[in-house]
Amino acid sequence: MVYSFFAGCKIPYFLPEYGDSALALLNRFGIELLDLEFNCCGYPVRDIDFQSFLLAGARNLALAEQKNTDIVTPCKCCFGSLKFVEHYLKQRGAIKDQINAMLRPEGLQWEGRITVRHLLTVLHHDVGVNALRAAVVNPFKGLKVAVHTGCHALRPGNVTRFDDPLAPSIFNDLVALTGAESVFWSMSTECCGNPQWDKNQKLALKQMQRKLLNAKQAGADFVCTACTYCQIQFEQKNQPEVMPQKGDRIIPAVLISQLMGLSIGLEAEDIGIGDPNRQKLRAYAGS
Amino acid sequence: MLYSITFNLALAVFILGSIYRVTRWFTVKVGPDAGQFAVRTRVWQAFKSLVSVLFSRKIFRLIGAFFFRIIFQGHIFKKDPLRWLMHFSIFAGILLLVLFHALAGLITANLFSDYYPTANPYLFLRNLFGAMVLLGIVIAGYRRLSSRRLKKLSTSQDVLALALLSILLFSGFLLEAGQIVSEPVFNQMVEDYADPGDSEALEALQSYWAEYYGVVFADPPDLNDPALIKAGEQVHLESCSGCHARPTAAFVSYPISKIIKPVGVWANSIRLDLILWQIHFLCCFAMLAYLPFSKFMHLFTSSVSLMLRSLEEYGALQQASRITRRVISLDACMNCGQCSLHCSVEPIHRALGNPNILPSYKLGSLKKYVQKKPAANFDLADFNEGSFICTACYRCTQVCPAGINLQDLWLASQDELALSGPSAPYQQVRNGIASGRPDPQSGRESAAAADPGPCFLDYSGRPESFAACIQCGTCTNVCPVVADYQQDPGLMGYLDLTPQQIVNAYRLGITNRVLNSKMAWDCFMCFKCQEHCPKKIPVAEMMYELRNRGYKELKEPLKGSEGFIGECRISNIG
Repeated sequence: MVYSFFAGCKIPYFLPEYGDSALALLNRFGIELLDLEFNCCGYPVRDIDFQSFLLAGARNLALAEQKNTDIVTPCKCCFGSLKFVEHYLKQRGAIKDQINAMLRPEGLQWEGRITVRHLLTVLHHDVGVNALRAAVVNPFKGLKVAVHTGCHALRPGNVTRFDDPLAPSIFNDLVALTGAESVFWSMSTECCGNPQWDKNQKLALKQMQRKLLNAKQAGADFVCTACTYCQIQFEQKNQPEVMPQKGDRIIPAVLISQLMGLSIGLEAEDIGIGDPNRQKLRAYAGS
Repeated sequence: MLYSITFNLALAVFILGSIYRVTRWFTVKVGPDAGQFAVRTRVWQAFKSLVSVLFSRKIFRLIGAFFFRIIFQGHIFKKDPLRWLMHFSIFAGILLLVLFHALAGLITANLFSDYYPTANPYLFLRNLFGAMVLLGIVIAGYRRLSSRRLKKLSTSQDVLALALLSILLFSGFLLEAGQIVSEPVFNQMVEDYADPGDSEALEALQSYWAEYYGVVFADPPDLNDPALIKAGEQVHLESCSGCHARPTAAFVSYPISKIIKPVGVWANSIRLDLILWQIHFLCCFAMLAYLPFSKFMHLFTSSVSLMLRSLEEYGALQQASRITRRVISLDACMNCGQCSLHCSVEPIHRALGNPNILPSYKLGSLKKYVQKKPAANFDLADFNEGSFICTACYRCTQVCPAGINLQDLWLASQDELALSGPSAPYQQVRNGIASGRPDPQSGRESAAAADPGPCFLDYSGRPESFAACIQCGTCTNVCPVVADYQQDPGLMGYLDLTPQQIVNAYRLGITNRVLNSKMAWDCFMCFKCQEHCPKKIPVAEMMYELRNRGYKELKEPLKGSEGFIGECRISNIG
């Protein structure tokens, strides 16, 4: 199976471990990934200018269509944006023509033959739960994980068609087969706070702290993410000194690709798990 | 006299210009953290780092970078062999010409005891090096013109650089051609190396040189007498051949001399060779003086930048040196356009038309911005917008052939703009600041400007998108922003509107009054409201519409204020 891998803008510099671990994981299950020179998915300019947003998204779809491959992205914001553009343009021929006219000078066209997948769907549906379960060699024991679903893959459900938007299960299934326990927490499907980081930082932190405390109260050792922005928020912006309520760091975050990677026996170095999370996770690894 | 005055003048300008450029590395401030280091600290830190690198194992990294990236330019070859051929031809051609031709008296003559500019292989090599530069210029010109995107990125500096180089090169080839046909030059050589009094031998030599060396004589010798030419050959072998090869070795200049030949007598009478000599030397001196201020300076600045890159990749730069590094980065750019060709937000430039979205242009703007004084072709609002549309994806830094750390430049300039510049555009909209540009689209080429088209969000203009709202308040109940504000009003302050009230503003046709509401700008865009709405109202997308319109008003404040009174859609609902 061949996909074009859409890393998005933030992975190369700010979160290379997500790119590395996602690639290692997909390669491990024989999924071939093309490395195309995609542009920004459009998400950051959706605020600013709708047409720029559509054009940026459509150009990526056209690039993948030129290679006749679906896109797989590990980032939920990229996923949500590309899905929205796909959905929006499919329903509006006139606007699609207008956007295609802007792509034509460089020989690109998007006709809607390819689609966009998220890392989680590819793992869950294409690789399959059974194959994944069979590959687990170091199941976690006693590790409690709060699954942070992430907004833009889940909602709007009629656009993303990712999972049940009100009662999602894909992410939980994947976490469960690593041996970790996916705890129930009421704020699981809420925002991580990152979209407000560079707009209203106080609000971004407030939202993050409310979520993390909720996860901790549910007994979780880690929050598990499957989105670049969410992980950046929970790992890099989660500094006790800037939080509204001071105190120790609440709980750390781990990427789904790292959690699965460890459980199927990939080396911690290859999937970018740094100390002290590595030690903490090793304590639960059942090897 | 004229020669030495102009030369010394050019040399002085070159030296002072170079000193000026290097001094700026330590005085110009780029980034909000630049102010904390005095010039002295930066010079001292740079010196210390230099010494510590030279006497550590990192020196091998530098040597590696020097040979692989600066001399061989292997990193360009790996990306694009044609681009490498272009660049390497110009680079190697110019360098060899400067060292072994321009500085022949200093270098070539001391290295090779048999050196004569007219002897082989020197005659041939000079043409070869010139031809290399010519090849490079042709490829460079072709690339700039044939690629639509590269053509757009090219500036007058790029054209000027190629033009100057071409003039210099052609004046050199023409000069050599002029000397080949020149009778006065021939006479001078006879005076220097033979016996001008022996008129019989001179006539023979003239016939030989007219036949085989392309010299044009006002009084043409008889070329139909093989014996005379034979005799000329004897004289030639005795006096000339030791240090003057046949001009056929000058495989560029000799064919040009054939073109001059028909008008050779006239050319010799006006001493065309001397005129061309003056042009060629004046060109060289002009180039020398212009060098510190031109993109040719990148021969030096890019080399420094590439060396720094090899250290930077291993975190070897101190903080004060990182500031200095930023200024060197600004100096090292030669506007090759690679960053813009690979830029992640390039399609957004297509839609918005602001050239500052593209890194190569934005770098030029940053140069002007750090000077803190008004400059031509610099629009602070455009630079600001471009800076914040950048997603810091790191790609430009990875493709830059000059090893410029663009990522650090963008992160630093974003911070500086947020602190002391116009700040992030959304902050401006939130705070109700209009940047005051009445005609933002003038002089821009943009598909969006040419054809506004139908693809703007317009829920406010389409009542069917919100008319079904029953004001049940579900959107507000699930909204995390509302919950954050409610949980800690002391910390968060007062949220002016709820999502439900935003939709109500649509129903009342007063969306212009909520464009800079806290709710519209504090929204996380998590789409919970929209997902849970029993009437399927696109609540979150309406927030996007409000933001889009907020930005639009930032750019077009005059039109915006009209709209404020003008838009009342109550009639649409009633």
